[in-house]
Amino acid sequence: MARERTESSHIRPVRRLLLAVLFLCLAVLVLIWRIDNPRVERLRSAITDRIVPNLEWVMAPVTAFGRMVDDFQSYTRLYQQNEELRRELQQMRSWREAALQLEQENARLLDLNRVQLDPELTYVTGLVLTDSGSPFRRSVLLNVGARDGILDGWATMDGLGVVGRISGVGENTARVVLLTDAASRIPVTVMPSSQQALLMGDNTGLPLLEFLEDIEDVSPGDRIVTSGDGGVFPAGLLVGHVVVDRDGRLRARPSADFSRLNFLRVMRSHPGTSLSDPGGLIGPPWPLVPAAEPPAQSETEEEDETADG
Amino acid sequence: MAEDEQSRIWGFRALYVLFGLGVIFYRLLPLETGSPGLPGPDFILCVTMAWVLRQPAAVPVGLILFLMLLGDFLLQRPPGLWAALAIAATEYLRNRRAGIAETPFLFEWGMVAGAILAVVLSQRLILWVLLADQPSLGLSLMEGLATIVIYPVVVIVSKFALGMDKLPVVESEPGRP
Repeated sequence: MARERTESSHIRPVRRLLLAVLFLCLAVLVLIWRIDNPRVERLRSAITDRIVPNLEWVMAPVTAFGRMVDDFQSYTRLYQQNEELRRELQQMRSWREAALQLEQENARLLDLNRVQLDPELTYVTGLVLTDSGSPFRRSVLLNVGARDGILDGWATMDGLGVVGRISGVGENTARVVLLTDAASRIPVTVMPSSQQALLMGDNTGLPLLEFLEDIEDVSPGDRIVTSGDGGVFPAGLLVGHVVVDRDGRLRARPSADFSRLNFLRVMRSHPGTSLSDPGGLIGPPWPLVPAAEPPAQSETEEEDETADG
Repeated sequence: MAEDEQSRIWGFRALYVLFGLGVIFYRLLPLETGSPGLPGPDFILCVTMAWVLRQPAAVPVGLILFLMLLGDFLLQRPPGLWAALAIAATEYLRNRRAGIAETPFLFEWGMVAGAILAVVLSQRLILWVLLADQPSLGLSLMEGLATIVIYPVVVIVSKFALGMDKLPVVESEPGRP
């Protein structure tokens, strides 16, 4: 080849020098990534944000086609599936009756008690654009981002259970680190015994349940909900059920269907209010106000209330 | 004749970039969000190594850098690390092409396997030194092994489907001392 013949003796040192400079630059990039991680991750999410939404027009049909192929493969097991579904439907009917009765009873009791269990959670629904593309990371990219008011750390659910949390927000996209990612740690409560635990993803489909106080109190099938500890997540979101793996360790089977992540809800959570001042709770304020003052005080309280409302 | 060669080379370059972008694109598709299957082979690295030993001009360092760095950013890898190691490995092979070209295929396969394993292991070593999170040893070794296993297939495809033969050494590297 003509080209290669020309680049012989005098090109070689130049090329070597350029390569050295290139390696230096890449090494510096890796070091910067390690030292100033948030900045480089922002750069990464900016690049993703720039490239991926432009590809949506190709990705959507290809993804739809891939899913259709998957569905088509399941046709071969149609008869078995039909049988299974019938059986499940039968069970579900009885469950539905029970649930309806319980719901009515629950509503009555809550009404009697005037209890507000959870703060009102609103959500933004986003569409899954891409997955992480790496066998070592479990994350997906949503098509909602800072433009839609998404913030880092918000919980993400599919219709049923928690899927993961937002980590990395671009202008138009946001990355959700799934429960199964090796870097995912979520404080949870195991329900009937209400024991606190930590749900640790380990890159398998079933995240580990660690730091349980009393393993004997937990049995397979127990419900796992988020505990809201540390203000990481809103409390009481369904995560999954306890299962025991072959080694006898406790794991969680997520309720969310991780194999079909399509639409995800990002739960807007508000930072919990913290009680900062210790006084005012026990007894009247000190020194005691003269008897003439109380009407004035109640007026200011009313003003406060109207201002809040 | 030289004109033909030139256009052939440019064709290979375009094919290389398109193939790389296609692989990255495919891996980004949200088809397998849940089931963490076994990691597949790293096709880009595999094709780069196979072509560096056959038509080095088709895979210039700039293109390798572009694809690997884009992959680093989009596929959630530590940015720059995989690119640097892949370029180092391909440059190593590029410089030793003269020795490899005349040997039987098994020897070439062994060299490539060594290079791939070196890339995988040195990536782990560097991440370990930097105290960064890293995937389990089994998974990354499996990715490396899958890449090694797929290498002959890539070679066969590029030889018979694309007509990419090994360049004779004498012609390609006359200035070599």
